[in-house]
Amino acid sequence: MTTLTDREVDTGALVARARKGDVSAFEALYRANAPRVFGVCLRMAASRDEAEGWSQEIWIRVWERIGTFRSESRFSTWLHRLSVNLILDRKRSDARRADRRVKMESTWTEQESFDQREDMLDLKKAVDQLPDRARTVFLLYDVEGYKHREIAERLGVAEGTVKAHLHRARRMLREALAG
Amino acid sequence: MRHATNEEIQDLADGRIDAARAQELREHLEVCDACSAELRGIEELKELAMGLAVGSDPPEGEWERIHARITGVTRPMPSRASGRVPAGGFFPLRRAAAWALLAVAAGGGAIVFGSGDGPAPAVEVAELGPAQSVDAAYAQSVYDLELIFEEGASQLSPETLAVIEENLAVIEEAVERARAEIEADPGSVALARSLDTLYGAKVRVLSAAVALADER
Repeated sequence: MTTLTDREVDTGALVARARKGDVSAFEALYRANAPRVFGVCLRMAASRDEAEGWSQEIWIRVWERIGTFRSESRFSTWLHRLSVNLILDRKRSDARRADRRVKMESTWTEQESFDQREDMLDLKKAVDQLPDRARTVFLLYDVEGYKHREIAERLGVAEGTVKAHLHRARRMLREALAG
Repeated sequence: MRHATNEEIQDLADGRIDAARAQELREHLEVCDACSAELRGIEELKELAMGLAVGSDPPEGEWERIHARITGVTRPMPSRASGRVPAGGFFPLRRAAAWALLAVAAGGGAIVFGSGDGPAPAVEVAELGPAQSVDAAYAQSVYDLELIFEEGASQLSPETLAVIEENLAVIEEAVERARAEIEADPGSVALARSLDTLYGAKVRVLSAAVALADER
């Protein structure tokens, strides 16, 4: 039999209250999970402004859709998937606006205080230099833990294409780190 | 035995290869420095990549902005001069506009937004008169849409921009007239409804303008 931790019980109670429109419960969920959501946004965005826009939009959507959350899955997992789905939607629509390309800037500044290891900083810089699709696939697979099939479905490409992007990203990163 | 392909080594590192072939590859790796170095390089990169999965403090004031959108009552916010509008946030703005219309139609405004330099205090709309409620309900939506429109205006052709500005000017003129009439009769529900209609038109024009700029 599965037992729930105190934190899971607390989260479950907060979700139940938020589903009934309790804003203070929703705020508690926000406070507990906002760094994780913003971390994903920063990793996937081309700029900090873009990450901030996504993060706010994600939380509005969480509020709108919290009624659809099924308690058999973990809230953090549901939130992470909702976040990534929204980010990919936004990246897809941005890609259609060819004249609105954003120059890539480093989005890691906020995260650097968490880890000042030199190799980690080098990796962050190298990730920023990857082509957008290779970067997205690398982050989804090697950082966010998505499977090839899931990434293929979300990006609307074949699994083989995902694999090719991943291999390319890894090769480029290893070359950058070795150089 | 032949060298493993790069794809096979990647699959081995990812655990995406059947047991029999994995065993063959591992036997090869024991005697092949090149292939074993390749596998080690990928595994080191994967391990390093896991370290990227860290959280980060959200932007200052994010909860206050979210709170304003989901409840319609603002908490203290930065002034317009210092506030930043996040890029890519058109969806919640449209939601806010739609919500504002609904809130007024339901008989009570909800958003309250300060007009001075300092932060706006949260005020219950029930304390306000009908026209003030309309002002309050639309303030945040119009404010956000205006800022976004200003940012995206350069994407529009001069002709399109002129049409949009002309429309906004007509609406603004009508709003001013309605306000003047409301000053003379502050309790009038009919005048408040007129103001509501005008603000609704302004939100629609601004939303359309933002969508146009967004498509460019």
